[in-house]
Amino acid sequence: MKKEVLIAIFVGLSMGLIITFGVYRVKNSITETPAADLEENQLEVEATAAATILALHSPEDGTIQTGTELTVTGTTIPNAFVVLFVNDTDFISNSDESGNFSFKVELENGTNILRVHVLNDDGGETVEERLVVVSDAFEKEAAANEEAATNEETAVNQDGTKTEEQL
Amino acid sequence: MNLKKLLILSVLSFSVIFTQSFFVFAIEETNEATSSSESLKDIMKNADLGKVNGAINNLLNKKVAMIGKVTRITDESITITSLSGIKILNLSSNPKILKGSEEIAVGKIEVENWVTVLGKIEDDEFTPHFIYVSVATLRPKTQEVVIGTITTISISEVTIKTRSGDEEKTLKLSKTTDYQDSDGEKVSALSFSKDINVLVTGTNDEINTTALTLRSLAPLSNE
Repeated sequence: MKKEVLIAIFVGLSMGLIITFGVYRVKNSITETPAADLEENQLEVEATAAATILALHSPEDGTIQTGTELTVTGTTIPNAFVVLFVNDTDFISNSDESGNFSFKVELENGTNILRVHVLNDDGGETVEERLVVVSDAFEKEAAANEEAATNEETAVNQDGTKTEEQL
Repeated sequence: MNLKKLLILSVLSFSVIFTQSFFVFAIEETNEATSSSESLKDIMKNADLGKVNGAINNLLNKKVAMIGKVTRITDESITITSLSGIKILNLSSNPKILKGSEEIAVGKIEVENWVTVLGKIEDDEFTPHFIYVSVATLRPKTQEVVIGTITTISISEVTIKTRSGDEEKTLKLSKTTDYQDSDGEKVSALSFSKDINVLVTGTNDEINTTALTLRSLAPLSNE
């Protein structure tokens, strides 16, 4: 009887362990990406990167700023010639080993059209354009509105009520 | 009877092991979730809410500029054509329209004028606040960048065989053309001769391409 009980317990435990192990393996295989899939994903990423030969990080197109200084940054193929035109003025540089490049330029007041040209070893070219406007129109408008609001407040005070200082 | 007991014992043992294992898996997942939510709480605690609100404000009322050539004018709108396509500017916000420093009425704008428009994106729509009118084009001249080998060079022009193919390009040289060595330092025009690999930048004025910069790609022989 005892022997049979032990065998029964042993069989039950074994079955339980086997099934639990099976569930554990299934769970892990869902979360793991097979090596072949990983390689495929990597190739896709590389292909996309090659197609995207130039990415301008800043400035954003249509930027409005009050100052004339601007830093243009981006990423392209490593060790490539990068030419930036700000309106009709040119700046020549190279991307570094990681493909990063940066220009610090002075803009003109008003409209500035920036064009970044990247040339690869075969002489092929990629161009990206950005518009940056140097203007303080919004700030002047805000200041004028604030002044108008202050003047209105003063006019109301002069109308009958006294300010705290007068009291 | 014995068989019955045996079966019951087997099933019980199996259930005990199975159930315990599921509990273990559940605890693992809960731990992961707890640590993620704790990280999020830390981030929220440390965030400067003022800056976050400011950034959200900028996103919601984003100031944006655009330029284009006027193709149609009505009392309610102006249609412009830009590189990114056709845009219709609604004038219901009563934007300020300026020509030079003078404020003008919408009726003074003409087709083929160029405009620089400053506005805000409000509720996903662009609202113009300022429109600057120009008779002259706002687009710069067409620019060129060429890498290749000098085939001929004189005082007034340089011909380059491009790297991209067998094409030859001729650019005018002017008094303002900048001659540079491989480090970008200024050198004399006489430093350049046939067979030197160069990078040239230039601008087109519909008749000629004028070189802005002529840069050697390798150290020049007289350096």
